[in-house]
Amino acid sequence: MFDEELRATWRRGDGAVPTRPRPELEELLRPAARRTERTLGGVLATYVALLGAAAVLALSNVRLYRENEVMLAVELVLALVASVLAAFGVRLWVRLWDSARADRPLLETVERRLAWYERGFEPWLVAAAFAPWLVTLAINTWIDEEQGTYHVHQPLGFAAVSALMVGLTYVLLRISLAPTAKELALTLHDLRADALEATPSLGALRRRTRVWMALGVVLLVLGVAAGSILWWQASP
Amino acid sequence: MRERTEAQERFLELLDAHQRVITRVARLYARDSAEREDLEQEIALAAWRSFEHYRGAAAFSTYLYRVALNTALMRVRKRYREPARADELDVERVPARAASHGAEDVERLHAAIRELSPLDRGLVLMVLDDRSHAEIAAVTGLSVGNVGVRLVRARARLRARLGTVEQEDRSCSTKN
Repeated sequence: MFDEELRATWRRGDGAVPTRPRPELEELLRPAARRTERTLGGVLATYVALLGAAAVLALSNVRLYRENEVMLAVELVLALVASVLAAFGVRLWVRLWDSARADRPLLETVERRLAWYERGFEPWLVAAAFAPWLVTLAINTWIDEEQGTYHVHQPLGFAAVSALMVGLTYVLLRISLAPTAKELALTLHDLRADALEATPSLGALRRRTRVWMALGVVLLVLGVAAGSILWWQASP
Repeated sequence: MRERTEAQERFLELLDAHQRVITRVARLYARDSAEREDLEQEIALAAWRSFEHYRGAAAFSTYLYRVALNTALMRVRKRYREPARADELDVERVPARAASHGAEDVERLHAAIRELSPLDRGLVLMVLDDRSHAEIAAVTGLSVGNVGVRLVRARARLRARLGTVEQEDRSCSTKN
């Protein structure tokens, strides 16, 4: 079979498929099932909401602790960190939404999606891991406020529980989201490799991700523990 | 029920005129009729959602091919990394017949195209639909030269595949 023969066969097949009447086309535009991007988008939005709530609570605590210099600083830092992380989450969400646009050339779409998974996903996991801890801390300092004072009775326990909470949230998020995200990223790599006729270096990608992940967890735990100890030492 | 907007009306008109783009893509990327229905709906929805970005600079069919191929390639991403399913249509299982048996020829052609890589499938689909290399390049983001080179290879694979099956069928008929 040569080109014209192929085309003729193709047209024959094309002509045999009935076209949809207008009402059926309208029916097609009803919302379809959820997809990975939307699931990730939903998780992102949830954590952004948590971070936003933490920021609002911390800001309202600023008024409660206005006479207590240490707690005032703690609440301001808390509000700042929660706001920055929430803004980062919003930015990532917008980029994820934008990368899901299907009207761009195929290669451009692949590159945009890959950029999100390679540069946005891992930092987001780290940022999101702090969200429950920040909210809990903001709620605790709001509930346990006594005439402008707040006291951590067991500082080491507090540091340990905080580190555990952040670490555990990170691990849970990673376990629940990373396999889907990694699969999508690897497929996008395959697509790009197919388009560019290159061999995908998936092994190198996996190694790099593991190193960054381990480094992130260590820094995270050390940071939370050091911050808690410093806070304890500075408490009156 | 919400009143249909002017944009929706325009979109539906364009979709009506170019709906075969969606059926063509779905037919080559879905494995069965249920998946094909799903994919068609997903493409139509994606096209509607991105319609606000369509400025009319390119033909609507080019825009629709972009959306359709992007959606199809992302949708089939899971099985792209999996081995083919046993019940998936295989070119070997479709018997070759004389040209009068048109439906089988069509099925054999579709099966042979499905054996190409997902990207090459899209290129062949568009070239069979009389799209120029420049248009295919605009849809995929590949260079015009690269499109040409890939199509030469894809055509060779198709010819080899279809030729082999025809030869095998001829030898079977001779034995019988």
